[in-house]
Amino acid sequence: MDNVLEIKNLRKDYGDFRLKDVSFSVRRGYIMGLIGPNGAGKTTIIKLILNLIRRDGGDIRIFGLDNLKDEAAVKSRIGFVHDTPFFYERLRLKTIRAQIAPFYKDWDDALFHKLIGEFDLPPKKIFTKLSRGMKMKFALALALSHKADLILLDESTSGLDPVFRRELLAKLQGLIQDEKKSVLFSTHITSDLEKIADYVTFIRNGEIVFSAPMDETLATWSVVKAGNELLTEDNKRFFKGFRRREFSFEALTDNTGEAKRRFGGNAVFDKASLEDIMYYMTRGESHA
Amino acid sequence: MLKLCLKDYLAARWWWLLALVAYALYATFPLMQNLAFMIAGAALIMGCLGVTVFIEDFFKTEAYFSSLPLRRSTIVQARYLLAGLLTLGGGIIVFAYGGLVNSMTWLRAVKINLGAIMTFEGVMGYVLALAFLVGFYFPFYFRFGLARGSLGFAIALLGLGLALAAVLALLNENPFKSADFLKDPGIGIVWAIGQVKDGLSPPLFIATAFVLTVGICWVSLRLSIRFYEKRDL
Repeated sequence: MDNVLEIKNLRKDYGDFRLKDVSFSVRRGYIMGLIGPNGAGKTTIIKLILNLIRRDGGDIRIFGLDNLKDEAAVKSRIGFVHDTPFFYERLRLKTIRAQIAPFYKDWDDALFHKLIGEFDLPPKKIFTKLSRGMKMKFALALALSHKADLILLDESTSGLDPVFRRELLAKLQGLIQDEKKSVLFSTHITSDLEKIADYVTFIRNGEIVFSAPMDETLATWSVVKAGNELLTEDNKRFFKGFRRREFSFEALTDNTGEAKRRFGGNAVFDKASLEDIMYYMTRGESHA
Repeated sequence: MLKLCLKDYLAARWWWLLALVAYALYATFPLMQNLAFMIAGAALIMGCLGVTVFIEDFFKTEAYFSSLPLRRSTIVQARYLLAGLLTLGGGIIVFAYGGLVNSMTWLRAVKINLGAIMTFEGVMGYVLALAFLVGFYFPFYFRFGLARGSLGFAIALLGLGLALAAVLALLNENPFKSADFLKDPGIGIVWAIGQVKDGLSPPLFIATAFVLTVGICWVSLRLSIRFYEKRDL
């Protein structure tokens, strides 16, 4: 297997929050979606990949290299967009470009200008005068202008209008067409991931719940809807999470076959979306 | 490292220019004392350095630039290099400007004898003082960040000053209390450096000053790298 990113047993202890033995990998030429509720540890993972915070244990290998020992070499092949784009706000976009471009030997100025043209970003505009969406676009243009092999996006689509979000998703899909580039895309907007991600990793309370191919995930998980009389203690244990209404309940399962055997024609079965999975596993009731 | 210095220059150049203008206007008036001249020069350098780290902290750009293809140690080394370049550039400006103002016969009101400070000993005092200030400040900054680091630095500097004052108070003959010294402490400091130079002989004095400056910077740099590599951004 040709992995560009391999994370094994990654640990980070903040005292009030712990990342617990996180392991997953991103294959070359694919888009991995990283989902989870606020405070689940998505940004912590991305910060650990970029060595912005110290890990307490585990291993991160990028392009087969250790992200600490070969930090500069590894980072030169990574494009990143943080959840909030922080730059020197009083500078013009062209000055910020002049600050950042020299750090990348593969910086492609023509590509940068093409991108900011596509994104309608005037190079002489002062950064602070841009809207949040435009700031994100600028950060994205910087991330894509040095021919990175791995793109890390941390909540990069939040604050973007639906039109640009769709354009961005198309751009990301275009990026991986050469099967050399990969994307790790952390987001709350799970519908975006369903459109483009090949794999999905779900993290909750600092722990990986699952990391699997997107189509397999969407095929495996179902939402069961039935009357409350079927919500027995045994069935509650069977579900990964459920929500009780006045007369009926909705529940999440990763074993649709067994659910159909149990409930037969007394229940309705819908395919679970990523949002359903995230909701029931985070906010839904559980037997435990 | 030079790329990081360029980044800082692009971010802070207008502030540096403002500091320079403020210095030029300020230095015209308090040049009545060599010490004021020295302090104003050091304040110019520390001000330029301070505004550079302040705007980085204000705009929270540290995480972004630490995500670029750089090691933490390179980021620390670049800050020391920037401090060195500012000291060098600032020193040239301070001494050139001092000489220029002093040479203007029509500016008699601010004319003082800068003969003492515009000497080898004066330059040595300037370099050593700045090496000490920068070398003392950066480990605090890289360990605790700007706000807490600056506070820690100020408290430690105050403590060090009080300890030094206590040691001097114990001396039977305190040269720093003499009327001659108090008249223009700058001349007194340069004179004291001159005494050390004469005592050691000039070549040994230069070697000692060099070792002392490099030693302060090296220890400070090692500490800063160690602290910064452990800091979560």
